[in-house]
Amino acid sequence: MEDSKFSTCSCKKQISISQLNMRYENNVQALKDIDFSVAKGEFVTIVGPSGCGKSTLIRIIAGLIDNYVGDVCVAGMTETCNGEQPLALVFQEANLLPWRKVLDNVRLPLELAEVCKNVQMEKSLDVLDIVRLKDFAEAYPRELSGGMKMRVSLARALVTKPQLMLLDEPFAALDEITRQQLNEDLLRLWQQDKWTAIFVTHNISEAVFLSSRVVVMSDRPGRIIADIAIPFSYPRTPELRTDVGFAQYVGKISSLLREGAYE
Amino acid sequence: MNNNYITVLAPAVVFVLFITIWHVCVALFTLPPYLVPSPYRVFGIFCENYKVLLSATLLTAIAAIGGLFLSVVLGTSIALVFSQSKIIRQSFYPYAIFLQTVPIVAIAPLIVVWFGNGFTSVIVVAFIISLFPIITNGTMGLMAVKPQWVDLFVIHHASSWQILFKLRFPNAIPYLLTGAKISSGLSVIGAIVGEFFAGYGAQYHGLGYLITFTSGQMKTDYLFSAVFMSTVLGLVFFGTISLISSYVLRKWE
Repeated sequence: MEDSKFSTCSCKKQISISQLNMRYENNVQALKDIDFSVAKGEFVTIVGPSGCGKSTLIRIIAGLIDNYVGDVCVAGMTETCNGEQPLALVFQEANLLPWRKVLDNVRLPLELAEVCKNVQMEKSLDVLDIVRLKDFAEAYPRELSGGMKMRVSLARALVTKPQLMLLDEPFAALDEITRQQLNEDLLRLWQQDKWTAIFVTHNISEAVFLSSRVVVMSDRPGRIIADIAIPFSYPRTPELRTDVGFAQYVGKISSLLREGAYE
Repeated sequence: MNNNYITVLAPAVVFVLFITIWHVCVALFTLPPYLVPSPYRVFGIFCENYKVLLSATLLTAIAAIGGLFLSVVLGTSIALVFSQSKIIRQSFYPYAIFLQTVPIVAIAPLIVVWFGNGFTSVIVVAFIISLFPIITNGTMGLMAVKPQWVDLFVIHHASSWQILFKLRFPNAIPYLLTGAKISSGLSVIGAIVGEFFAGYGAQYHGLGYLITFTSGQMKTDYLFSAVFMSTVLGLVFFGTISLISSYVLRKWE
């Protein structure tokens, strides 16, 4: 998909997808008749069984896959100046470049946009401060724990001040406590800047805790089988996880997922 | 015992054992010195001729460094070109393998015909023999980047130039250093083989010349000293590149 397709798009929503179908090169159908939209500033989580095409959908939205059929409209994709970019993607692994220090990893997107070095440093230190890792600016990735690496990865995404943040199972490899802490950090950051978030996860409780909406996908070929609004108000506290209503939503999504998997 | 001591001590013990067995064999079987000289005799010859041996070693070392330097610079450049497209790799890689398979002793005389006797020919031979590991390792390192890293660069609108020099090239450095380690030993072999065919003139001798000269005159003890110096030179090269490599690769671990 070319960037021009994004920029000419005039949809009011942040993302608007209709009748999206996609086949892999081996002709296996990955996604089938996907229709969904995301409003600006919304936090939407996509859950679904392994291999249902969640990551493929994220990659299509990111513009990394173009052999699909249907309409994908992502608003505001024209590049802005000074290294600010409309879209950022956080991967399942932190994907830090091992030969670059933490600060150099964070400033990479600005360096690629050829922003002047002082600005790169200033902005990168600011976001490192936000993710509470300013003291580790001069460390190499190998010196950090899994959770810290992921926070650096988040900082690298935030440094370009994106309007749309795509997060593809970013906390999947972390232990439960670290994952919960990072969930709380992520919500704090989202509430500060109000970017639009599309978050992919296997973890239902994480999905309910974070999102204003949870989209449930079926087994391959991936279809949307439910789109559930999560009514809990923000800011959300860790206590929400022990709320009865919270457990009901987790249970409901869990049974939907099971149905989707056996369809 | 501390592991560092064992690293130094164990090979030293093997060396002493080897020298002792060698000495005992020569004495026991009364081997003539033109066939197998005793280590004591080799050491004596070394002390007598150490100036010639050291200057020959220095000359060979300079030629080997020249060849290795050229192979690192040109090999890396070729790898950068190879990394750009599959069709380039498919078209030229068989010819790169040619560098590895061609018997260097067979083409060394040809190089002397082209470049004449002297330093240039020796460097060219050292260069040819040490080029292939740099090309293969470099290409492998440039290609072996995580797809997610490429995605990251693409999302941030990186140019292909930026992908090459800010991602692929740094990723290839550990691979290039491994190639340089292999090539370091090969460049010494190349320089010595080069000197078999192309001397430096009457005034200057490299180890290759000393080896052919002493073997022709059946000065086996002298030959042993020259071979010993060649081995030491190879080890020093390998050790130096290994040290540089472990220093540089601290970041990559």
